[in-house]
Amino acid sequence: MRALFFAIGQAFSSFWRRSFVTFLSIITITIAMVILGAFLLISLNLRGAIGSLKRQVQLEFFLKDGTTKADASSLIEAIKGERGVESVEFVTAERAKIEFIDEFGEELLEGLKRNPFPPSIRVELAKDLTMGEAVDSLAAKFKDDKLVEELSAPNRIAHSLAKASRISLILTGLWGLVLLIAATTIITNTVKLAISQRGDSIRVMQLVGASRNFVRLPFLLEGLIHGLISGSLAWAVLWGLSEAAGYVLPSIIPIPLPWNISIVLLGGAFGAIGSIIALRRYLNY
Amino acid sequence: MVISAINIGKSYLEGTGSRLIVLEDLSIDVEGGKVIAITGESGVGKSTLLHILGLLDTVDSGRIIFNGEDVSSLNDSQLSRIRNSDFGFIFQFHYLLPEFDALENVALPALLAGMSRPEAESRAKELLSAVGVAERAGHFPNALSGGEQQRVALARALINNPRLVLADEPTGNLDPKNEDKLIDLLFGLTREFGMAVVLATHNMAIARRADQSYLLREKHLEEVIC
Ligand SMILES: Nc1ncnc2c1ncn2[C@@H]1O[C@H](COP(=O)(O)OP(=O)(O)OP(=O)(O)O)[C@@H](O)[C@H]1O
Ligand SMILES: [Mg+2]
Repeated sequence: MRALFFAIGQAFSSFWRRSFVTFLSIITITIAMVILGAFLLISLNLRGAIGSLKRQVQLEFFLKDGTTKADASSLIEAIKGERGVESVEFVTAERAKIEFIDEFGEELLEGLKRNPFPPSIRVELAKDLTMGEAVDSLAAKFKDDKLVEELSAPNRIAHSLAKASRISLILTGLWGLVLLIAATTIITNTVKLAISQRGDSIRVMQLVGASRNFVRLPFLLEGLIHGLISGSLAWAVLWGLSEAAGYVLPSIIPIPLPWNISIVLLGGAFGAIGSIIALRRYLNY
Repeated sequence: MVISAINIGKSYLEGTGSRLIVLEDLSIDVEGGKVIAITGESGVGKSTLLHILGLLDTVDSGRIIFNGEDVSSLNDSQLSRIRNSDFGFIFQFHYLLPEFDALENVALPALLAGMSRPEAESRAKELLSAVGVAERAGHFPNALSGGEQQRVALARALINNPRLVLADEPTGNLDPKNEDKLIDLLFGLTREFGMAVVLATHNMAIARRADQSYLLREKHLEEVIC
C-alpha cells in the first residue's frame, strides 16, 4: 500500500517536472485519438444511414398486365430459391392501387378509367448481405423473364453508402493501427526520458532495497496516467464534436457509451504498452 | 561470515565487441564486524567488486555466498530484501533522492522494510544526530553541502542495522577535513553497532585504519600487511 502511494507520488512528480514534454505528447495523442473517433463517428453514421435505407429497399419486378398469382408461381418459387432473398410477395394490381391511395390520396387517380398499376413481385433482401451483389445477381437473372415488364432497381444510394461505409471502416482500422504505433512510441519516449532523468534515483531505490517491480511501478503509472489523460481528453473533444454536429444534423448517431469508455481505456492501454516497452529497453538492471 | 566471494570472474562486453576481463578467480571473505579496505588504481575494478558484493551485479563465474547460501539461486525480490535489511551503501556520488528532505531520505530504507512512519522518522532523527546533521533534517539535498550529503547517506546506510556497509570512495568528493569527519563517523558507528565494512578508497592513510587491507591489481586481490 505504502509502495503504491510512493509510486503514485513519483509518477506525478516526474510528470510535473517535464510538464512541457508531457503536455506536447498528451496533445499529440489526443489529436490522433480524436481523428480515430471522428472516423468511428462517420462509419457509425454511414452504417446507420444504410440501415434505414435498407429497410426501405426492396427489389420489385413489375409484371405484364393481367398476370395472376398462378401465372407467376413458378417465377416466385425461382426467386425464393435465390441466395439473399428473405421473402417474396405477390402484389396484385388491386393492392398496389390501395397502397397508392393510402399513401398519396385518391385525387391523383381520379378520372382514370382503369387501374394503372401492374401486378408485381416484391422481393425483400436479407439485411446482412451486401447490397450490391444480391441486387445485381437477382436483377440480372430475372429481368428478362417473359412475365417481367420492368424492374425497379433498389436505391443505388444504399449501394454507394455501403461502399463508403466499408472504406470508412477500413480507414478507421488503418488509422487505429497508425495510432497504436504512434501513441505507443510517443509514450515510450516520454517514459524513456523519465527513466534517464531519474537515473540516479533509480540507483538509490536499488541501493536501499526496492525491488525491480517497485522501481518500475512509478514509470508504468506515469505512462498509464499519460494515456488515460489523452484518452479522456479525446473522449471530451469527441463528445463536444458530436454534440455540435447534433445541432446541424439532429439525426446524427452519437458514439455509444461503451465505445466512449473504450476510447479512455484505449488511451490507458497505449500508456501501459508504451511504458512497458520503455522499461524493458531502457531500465537495464 | 557475512559474505564470501569464491573464485569469481567478471568481464564487461565492450563497445568493440571484445570482452574486458575485470576480475578473475578472485576470492574474499567478509567477516562480521570487520573493516576491510580495498585500494587500487583507478579502473582496476574496485567498484565492480563492491557492486558484486552488494548483490547489485552478477558474476560470470565463481560463487557469492551470503548467509551460507549461493545468491545465484535468489530472485530479484529476495535480493532486494537482502540489500534492504542486511546491507547499507554509501557511494562517491551522494545518491540522495532530490524530492525528499534529509530526514525522509534516511527513513526510506526503514519504510521500505515495513517500519511505521513515526518509528522510521524517530530512528532517522537519532541517526542524523549521530552523524551531526540533526539541524539539517528538513533540508532537501540541493540545500546540503557535499559533506552533509555524505553524512546523510551514511545515516541512511545504517538505519536498518545492516550487517555490512559497502562504501565506494565515500570521501572522493570531500575536502580533507570533511573526509576525516566522515571516516571517523563511518568507522566509529559501524564498530559501535558491530557492522562489517568494505571500503574502496584511494587514500592509503584511511586504508591503514582498517582491520584488513587489500590491493586490487591485475584482476586479483593482494592482502596488504602493514
Ligand atoms: N557497465 C560497464 N560496462 C563496461 N565496462 C565497464 C562497466 N563498468 C565498469 N567497466 C569497466 O571496468 C573496469 C573497472 O571499473 P570500476 O568502476 O570497477 O573501476 P574502479 O576501480 O572502481 O575505478 P575508480 O577508482 O576510477 O572508481 C573499468 O575499465 C571500467 O571502464
Ligand atoms: Mg570506482
